[in-house]
Amino acid sequence: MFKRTGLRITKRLIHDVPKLKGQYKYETSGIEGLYSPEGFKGAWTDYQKFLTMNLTLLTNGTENEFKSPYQILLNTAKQTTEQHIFHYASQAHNNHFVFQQLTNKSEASKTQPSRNLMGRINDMGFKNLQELYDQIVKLSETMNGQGWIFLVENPDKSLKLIQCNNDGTPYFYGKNQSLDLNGGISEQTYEKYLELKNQVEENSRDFTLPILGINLWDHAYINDYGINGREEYLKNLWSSLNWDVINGRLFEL
Amino acid sequence: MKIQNHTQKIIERTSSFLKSGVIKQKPAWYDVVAAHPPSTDLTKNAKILGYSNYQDPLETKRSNQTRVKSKKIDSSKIHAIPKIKLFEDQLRNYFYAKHPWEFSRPKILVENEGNETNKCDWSHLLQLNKPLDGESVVQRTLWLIKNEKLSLNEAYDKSRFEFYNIRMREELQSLNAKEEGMMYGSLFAEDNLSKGVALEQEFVDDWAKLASEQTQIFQTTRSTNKFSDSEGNEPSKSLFESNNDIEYGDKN
Amino acid sequence: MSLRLIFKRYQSYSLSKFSNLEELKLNTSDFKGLFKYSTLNELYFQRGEKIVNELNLQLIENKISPPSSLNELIKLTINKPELIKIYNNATSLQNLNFFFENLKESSDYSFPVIDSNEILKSPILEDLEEVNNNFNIDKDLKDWIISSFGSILQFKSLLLNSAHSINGNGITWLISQPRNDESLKFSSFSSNFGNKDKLSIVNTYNNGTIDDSLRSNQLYKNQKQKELKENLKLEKEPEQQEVVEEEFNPILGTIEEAEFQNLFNEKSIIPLLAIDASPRNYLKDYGVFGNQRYLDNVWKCINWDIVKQRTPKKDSQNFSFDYE
Repeated sequence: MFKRTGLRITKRLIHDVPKLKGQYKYETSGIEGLYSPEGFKGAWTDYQKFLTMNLTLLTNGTENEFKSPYQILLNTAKQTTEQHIFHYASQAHNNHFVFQQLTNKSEASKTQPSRNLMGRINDMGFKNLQELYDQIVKLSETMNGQGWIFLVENPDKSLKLIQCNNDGTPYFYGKNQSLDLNGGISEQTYEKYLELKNQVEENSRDFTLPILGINLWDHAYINDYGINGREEYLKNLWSSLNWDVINGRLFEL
Repeated sequence: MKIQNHTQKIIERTSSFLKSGVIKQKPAWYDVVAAHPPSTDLTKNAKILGYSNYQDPLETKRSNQTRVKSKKIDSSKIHAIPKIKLFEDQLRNYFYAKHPWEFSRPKILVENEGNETNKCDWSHLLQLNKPLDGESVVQRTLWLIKNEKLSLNEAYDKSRFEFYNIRMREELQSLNAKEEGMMYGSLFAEDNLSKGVALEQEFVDDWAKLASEQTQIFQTTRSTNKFSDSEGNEPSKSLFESNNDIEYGDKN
Repeated sequence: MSLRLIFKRYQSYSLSKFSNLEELKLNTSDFKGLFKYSTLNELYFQRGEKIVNELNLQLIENKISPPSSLNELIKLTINKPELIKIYNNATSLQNLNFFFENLKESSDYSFPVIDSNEILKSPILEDLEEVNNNFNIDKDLKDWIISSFGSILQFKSLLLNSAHSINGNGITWLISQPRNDESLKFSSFSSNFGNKDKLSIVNTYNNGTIDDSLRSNQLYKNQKQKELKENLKLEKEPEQQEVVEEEFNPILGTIEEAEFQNLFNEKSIIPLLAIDASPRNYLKDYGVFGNQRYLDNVWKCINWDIVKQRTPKKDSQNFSFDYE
């Protein structure tokens, strides 16, 4: 439908860390109320460098070389032999997505969800933002390992929360990775698994789009909050969200 | 008149021309040149490249021959671009001869400026500007020889084992990333193995059809041959053929 | 299956006290060769404490009187979705104990700043003979490793590469598992450890347990259960039952089907060594780029005496997974 016309860009490039808005300030003084300069370096500058460098090494001289992490993750999601490339692409995209929506606490407090967004959140059954936050905390507690939580928009414009274990992506159900099959598998999980399997077999398409992302990887909080500091990190993260950015992600007519 | 290019012969020729009357007057330079004949031939002739010092002198000089045949010059050789022989090429050939599967990796030949390899720093094998391949091993080997003063064998072995290590690491990464993803509920419509089997199956099916037709044709021609064999000798049969006989016999 | 534990009085779990770690805690000194003190404290003592507290709390909440060994508790809770928190904490604790038990300090160490150049760095090549000669462990164990993996160097690179390939939380295990009959026929190897066992390397992720007999055929069990249920439904409405002729499908089955059919028999797996490759272990002291360096250090810090102790005994072939 939206085929790209015109010249194809075929210049070979190296994946590199994108510059955030206000990156220089963050590097010297951190993100107020969330990261110290070291914490910011670990979670963004270093980690993103780690991801993009590895992505470059793995995609050099292949068709994925010209593509953005987002395109690469879509391209590799179904390939069983390219899951390591998927990992770096998905992580790089998710991390960028999350950092785009962060800002200093003082600035964040000036922003709030738009009426449209708040209405949709209310439709999910949450009376206010606090309830949404509580639900996110609850989800984060059930996630034992690394992962992400996304607030996503369904094709029917309703919102929902999904948790993606490890490098899961919100864009494709086959790689959501919202199940944890490492321990005991409950009947409920098995039903979900079968449902997914059906979807995959039918090759149905996925139009989910993320609105808000929460990074639960150790990289995001270990420097400032310690190995066991996930809860405190989440609290601070919630008050550092730039709702203007998040509002802009919602599709509006 | 033919263009003359033998300077030493110029006096000789002019003399004979004078004697025979082709030229009536002595040229102005005649006496001077006769007194000081040119010692060297200054004309520049095209040389045949690729002449080897180790060639058999008897063959080229033909010293025992009384009449020297004028050599025919192969003009195509004069204009041929000489083969550039580099040490790297030998290494490259050697590497790819020993690792033929490296050829199966797809490779993009498009370059930005053509000098991508100049950006590479071969103090390590992995490069951000170029994929890891046989060329990396070659360049790394050259770097090791130059900078770490290793012998060719040592340098080649070192870079090649580094190459193996990185490939092994990557292979396990690929395998385990899939496993890890599946433990978190990743699902794939088809894996490469079953895809390969399915593709192969198409050809097997075609072949099976073709083979059964061919077998039938073979069977009928052979049975007619059998009858036409006037001496009544049984045609020699292999074990498999005899089995086929029974099978088709039932059908017919 | 119900928890038949009501007879026992409440019992709580505690973090294993390893004398070497306790001593380090007393002197607030680094775990030489691997962790700075602050990291060790967070990784083992604080995290362990947190897990133990949660575990005990949940046991009381759910009114469960736990069995004496963690492994029993895991066995009891793995198939109970309502007790998932107990299961998660129990395996976390077990894995944590197991990993720290097989570590010892090593003499040479430093914590250099590792930057992005680390990714491009060429791997350090080691000499086959040298690695073999420097690997001073019990001879039987060494022979066993060599016969299973080819050489010590091969074993080392497989072990460390497996750990390196873990992206999220996870553990790489060295395990001893019974050989299947097929491979036994071709095996000329016999050692004091018995013909039936071979060494392998396995990864588990998040709160996975290494015990294959519990873990492996989960999906299969669920499938069977579902089929059972559906069969019951069908029996009620027999007219729906139609015999559908199955088409011949020449395509090979999926891996899943293979797993269902024969891979996972009740295997008794004995873990010998655990390497925790989760990011929390290296992020603090080695940084984002320090995964490989951390694993290289872990190799130097493996306590092979403990690994040896965990190996199955010569005369008995029946082992249990327990340790304390």
